[in-house]
Amino acid sequence: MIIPVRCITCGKVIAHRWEEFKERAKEGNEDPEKVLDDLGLDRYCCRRIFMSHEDLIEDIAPYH
Amino acid sequence: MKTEIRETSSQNTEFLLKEANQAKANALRRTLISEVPSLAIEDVKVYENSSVLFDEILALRLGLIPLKTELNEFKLPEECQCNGEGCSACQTTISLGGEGENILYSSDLQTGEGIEVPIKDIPIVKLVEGQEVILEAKAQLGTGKKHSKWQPVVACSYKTYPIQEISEQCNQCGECVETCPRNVYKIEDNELKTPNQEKCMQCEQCVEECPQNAITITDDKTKYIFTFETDQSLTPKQILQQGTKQIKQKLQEFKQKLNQQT
Repeated sequence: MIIPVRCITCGKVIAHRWEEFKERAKEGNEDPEKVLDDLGLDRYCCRRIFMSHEDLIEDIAPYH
Repeated sequence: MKTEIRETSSQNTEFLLKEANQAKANALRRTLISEVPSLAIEDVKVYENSSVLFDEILALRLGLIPLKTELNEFKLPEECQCNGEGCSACQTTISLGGEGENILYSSDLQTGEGIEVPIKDIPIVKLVEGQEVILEAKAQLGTGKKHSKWQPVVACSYKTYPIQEISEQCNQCGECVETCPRNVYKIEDNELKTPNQEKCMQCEQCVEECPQNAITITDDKTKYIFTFETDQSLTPKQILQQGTKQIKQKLQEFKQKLNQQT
């Protein structure tokens, strides 16, 4: 739906990194691994949230 | 117990705990996680919410946003003079309002004087045209014991100090250098050395690979490498000071109770 504020496993605040990740790795063509390293997300619990997240809120919002 | 600070920034810290034991290191870890108080949003009054997120989800997202905490200025609600009913000594009001088309960020939170949101660009909710959010929230101190939103530390852990013992049987074949995932070993001047001794995670792959059986992995039970990150509500220094204060206080209470018994 919308990026979780914190990592579900470790509790690190991650939401403020999402927009940059989306811009650089999802929409741009940078290597996601390098972007995640740049953003300081070095544990795999935080990384999997970014890898598997989809912003569904944008698709659902107009029909509410 | 002695400490040697290795690395410290506003968010991360690593230090060496010397002349300690497992019990002391674990007491410190558990205290930092569950006893050090910090500020977080607790009650939310929603006046208007036509966004796609339910009120509950919105409240949870607000609760997880870290707030900069001045520990001297607030009291825990259960220790406050108002008996937890809520007064200016134990809580503060934060409000949020906005309409679409817009994304509401943590910087849009209207906080009272002296309350700061350290991370400004956390998206709270995305609104499209015609959608509106108006709410008022109360933030108060709490501890990680009750909810992880009040936990100021992230990934708080320690490991025992690893020691690699290399016997005289070593013939510098280099198998351990190849196999070690943490690059602990290096052959220098025809001698096997351990330049990254502390990086060792005691997986003992080198012990298995060594044809000469020359390596034994042990640990120093009096030294601990301690690391934690913060959520920026408090600095690592404040967290450690408060944590050690809490341990001391608890031990004193324990001692008092023991004295009453005898």
